[in-house]
Amino acid sequence: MGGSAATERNRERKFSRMTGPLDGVRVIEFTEIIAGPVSGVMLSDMGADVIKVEPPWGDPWRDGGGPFAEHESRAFIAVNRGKRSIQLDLTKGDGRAAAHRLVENADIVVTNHRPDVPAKLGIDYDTLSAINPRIIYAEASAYGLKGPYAGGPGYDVLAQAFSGIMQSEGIMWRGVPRMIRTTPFVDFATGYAIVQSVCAALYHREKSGRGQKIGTSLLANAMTTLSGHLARIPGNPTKPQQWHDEDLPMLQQAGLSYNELNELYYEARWFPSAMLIYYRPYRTEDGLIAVACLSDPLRKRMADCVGFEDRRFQPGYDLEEPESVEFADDLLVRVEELIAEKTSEDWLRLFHEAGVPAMPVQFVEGLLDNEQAQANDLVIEQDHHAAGKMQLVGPNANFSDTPLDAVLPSPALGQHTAEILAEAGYSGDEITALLESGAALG
Amino acid sequence: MTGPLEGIRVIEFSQIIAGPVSGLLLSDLGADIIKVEPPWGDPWRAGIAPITDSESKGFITVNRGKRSVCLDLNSEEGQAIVHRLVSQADVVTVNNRADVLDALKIDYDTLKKIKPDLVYSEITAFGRQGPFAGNPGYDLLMQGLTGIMAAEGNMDGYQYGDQKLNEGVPRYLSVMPMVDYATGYSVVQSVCAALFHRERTGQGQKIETSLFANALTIQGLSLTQVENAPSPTFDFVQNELPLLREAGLTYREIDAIYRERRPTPFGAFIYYRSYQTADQVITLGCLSEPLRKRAADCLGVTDIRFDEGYDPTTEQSIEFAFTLARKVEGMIKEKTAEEWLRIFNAAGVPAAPLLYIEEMIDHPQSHATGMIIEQQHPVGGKVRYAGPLSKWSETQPEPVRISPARGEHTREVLSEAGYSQAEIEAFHKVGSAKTG
Repeated sequence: MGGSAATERNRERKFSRMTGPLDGVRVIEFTEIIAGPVSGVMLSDMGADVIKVEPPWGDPWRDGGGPFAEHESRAFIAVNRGKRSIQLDLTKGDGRAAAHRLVENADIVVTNHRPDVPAKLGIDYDTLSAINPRIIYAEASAYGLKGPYAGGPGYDVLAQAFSGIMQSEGIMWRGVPRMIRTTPFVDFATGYAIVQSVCAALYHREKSGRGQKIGTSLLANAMTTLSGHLARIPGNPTKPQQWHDEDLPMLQQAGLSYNELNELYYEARWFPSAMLIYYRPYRTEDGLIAVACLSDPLRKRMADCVGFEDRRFQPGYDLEEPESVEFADDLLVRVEELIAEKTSEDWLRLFHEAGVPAMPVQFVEGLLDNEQAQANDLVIEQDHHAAGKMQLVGPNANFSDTPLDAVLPSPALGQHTAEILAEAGYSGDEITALLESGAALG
Repeated sequence: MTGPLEGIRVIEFSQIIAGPVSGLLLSDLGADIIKVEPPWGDPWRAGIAPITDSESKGFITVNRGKRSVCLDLNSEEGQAIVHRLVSQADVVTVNNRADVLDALKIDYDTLKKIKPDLVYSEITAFGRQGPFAGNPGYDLLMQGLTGIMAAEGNMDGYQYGDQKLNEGVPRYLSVMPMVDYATGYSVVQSVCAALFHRERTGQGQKIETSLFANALTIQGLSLTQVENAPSPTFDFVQNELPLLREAGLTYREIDAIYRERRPTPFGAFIYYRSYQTADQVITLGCLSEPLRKRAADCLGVTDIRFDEGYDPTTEQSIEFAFTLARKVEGMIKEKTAEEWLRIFNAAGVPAAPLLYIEEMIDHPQSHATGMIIEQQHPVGGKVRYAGPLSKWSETQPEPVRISPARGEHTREVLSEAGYSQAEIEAFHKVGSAKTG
C-alpha cells in the first residue's frame, strides 16, 4: 500500500508527526496568493507534510496586507502556517530537476497558476505523473480549462464580479457594486474544494493504486455556493430570473444607468416574506443582536416573545398581495421599535429562554479573545521567526482518533530549502552547488 | 467509475443547509447517500421558493444525489431499522443537538457499537464546549457573532417604496449562506480524510466541526494577530470598544470609528475593485505589485506608491490615494467595458465583466466547463443548476439523482437492507417507516 510506504518514509525522516488522518502524506504546493495556500494549511492541519515551493522572488502574497518585515505580512502568515518553504528557480534545469525529485517522493501536488504556466515550468500533470504515476495532482484554475475565459487570471474579486455575487449582494459604493470584503470567500471555498478532492483521491488511490488529476476552479466554487440562486425550473421562474431573462435586455437596450438597473433588480429580488422580520440584525437599546428563525414554530415563538401579532401564520395567507406587502412593511417598523426598547442582554436572555435563535453582533477582531473560540481550541498561538508570538485560527475540525494539530508557523522564504533537498537525497556539496547557481535559494 | 467514493454509503441525518450540502458534495464524489427524514420531513423542504408544500427550490438545490427514507426514530422499530442501515454504511452525518442524538439513539457511542469502523461526522453550531455550547446556530447568527456583518459594514438599509428599513444596523450578506457552505465543505474534507485513514488502519472515528469554527476559518485573514505587527483594528476592539460601549455610543457611531481605524481606507483601493465604464461595469483584480504596475501603465497614471520605501499609511498618502482613485474613475468612464477588457486582457491585467448570477445558467463559460447540469424533478419538471465542482482524470463524478421526494426510497432501501416485503408493509402500517 502506497500510503503506508509514505508513512514509513515519513517515520525515517527527522521530520515526523504522529497526528492527523493524513500522517505520512507529503504535499508539494506550487501555489500563490490565497486559494491554493488555504488548501495547504488545511492539509497540514490534517497531518500532511506540506512543502511550499516558492520562486526566487517568493509568493507575491508575502507582500500582502499587514506587512511587518521584508517578505512577511499578516495576510501571508494567515494562509501559510503548517508548511516548510523551499525556494527553487524552475526556469533553471537544476531547479526543475530538484522539484521533480521532490515529486518522486510525494503523494500530492497542488497548483493554482494560470493554465498555461505549469507546462512552462515543467510542473504540469503529464510531466509529473510520468515521474510519479501515483501522484494526485490538484489544479485550481480561475474559470475552468475550457470556454472563452479558460486562460484568464482569477482572483476572488473577479470571481465575485463574474459569477454575480457582487451584483446580487448589491452593496453600492460610488455608483458601482463593491465586493464582499470581509473574506475572499470564493478563494476559501476553492481551498476547501481542493482539500476534499485530494482526500477523496487518496482514499481512491488506496483502493485502486492509481493517482489522478483533479481540476476545480474559482468559478466552479462560486457557483456551488450560489446554487440556491442557480436552480432554474421551467414553469417556476423566480422573480429575479424572470427580470433577468425578460426585462434586462430591454432595459440595457434603453441605456439605463447601473444605479437604475440595480434598483429594478432589487425590486425583483425583494421577497416580502416573513423571513425579513425573523431573520435579520436588530438595533437594541444599547447594541445589536441578530435573530434567525427559519421555520414557523420558531417565528411564532419570537412573535410571542417580542409581543406582536403576525396574521401571516394563518393557513392560505397570500404573501404576494399588495396588502400583505404593506402589512409586512408596517410590522417590520413596529418590530424594530419594540426591539429598540430593551437592551441586548435583556433580549438575548428572553430569546434564549424561549428557544428563539439569537446572538449578539460582534467584531471579528474580538474573536481571538472570545471564550467560545478558546473553549473549542479554535485559537492557536505560534512563534514566527519575524512576527514573534502570534495568535491565529487553528484547525477547524476535531478528529476523535487522529487529532489535528497545527505545528509549524508560516515559513520564511526558502527557510527549509537545504533541509528539504537533503531529505530528497542531495549531498551537502550538491546543495551548495544548487544554491551557488541560483537554481535553489534560501 | 462514477467518482472516487464509489461504494461508500453515507447515512445523512442532517437537515437545513450545512449538513445537506456535505451530502450533496459526497454524492458528487460517487457516494451513495441515504437521507433519513423524520415523518414531517427535513424542515428545509418548506424553504425558500416553494414549489409545493414539501418541495422548494431551496431544498432541491442542496439535496440532489440522495435517496430519501422516511422513518420515525422515536419508535423502537424505527431505531432498529436505522441501526441496521448504519451497520451496512460507512459514514453518518448529523447536525442535531446532543440530547436529540441521544434520544433518537443515533449518537456516536451507540452507532460505534453497531459499526466499529464508522466515520461519524457531527456539525454543531458552536462546538461542544464553551458558553454557547448548547445554543442553536444559523448562518446569520454566525455572521453577526463572528464579525462578518460588522466588518462588511453595509449600513445603507433597504429602500422599499418610500420606506427605509434596516437602518443603522449592518445588513447581513444574503447572496449565499457562506458559513453553511464552508461547514458543508469542511465535513466532506474531514470525511474523506477519515476514510483514507480507515483504509490504512481499519479505524473509524468521530469528527466534530461547527459553523463557528468555519466562520473563523474563512475569516483567517482578519483573525491573525501578530505581536510584532500591531493592528489598529485589533487595538480598537480590545482597548477602545469597551469604553465606547460604556459611553453609550450608537452602533452607527462605533462603526464610523471602526472604519477609520482600518489601515487602508476602503476608498483608497484602485487596483482591486469595480468601475463604471462608458456602458457596463467591470472589475479589476490586481493583488501583486507587478500586476498593479501593468494596470497603471494601461491607464497611463503615475502611482508614486510604487516608489521604494513609500509609506502608504501617512495622511498625505491616503489623500493621494483618494485623489488618484477619483482620477481613475473618470478615466475608466471614457471607454466601454469591451474596450477596457480588451486592453486589460492584452496587457495581462486581471479584469472581468460584472454579471448577474442568473446569467451563469446560460453562460458559455459555465457550459464549456460542464458546471450547469440538467435533471428532471417529479414536481418541478426540468431543473438546471450547478453540478459537480471538480473534474477528475480517473474517477469523474457523475450527478445521477435529483433531490428525492420525502420517503421516496423507503421501500427500496429497506429491501436492500434485507427486510422482507411483509416487514416493510408492517413498518408502514405502524408508522415507523413512511413513504411520501
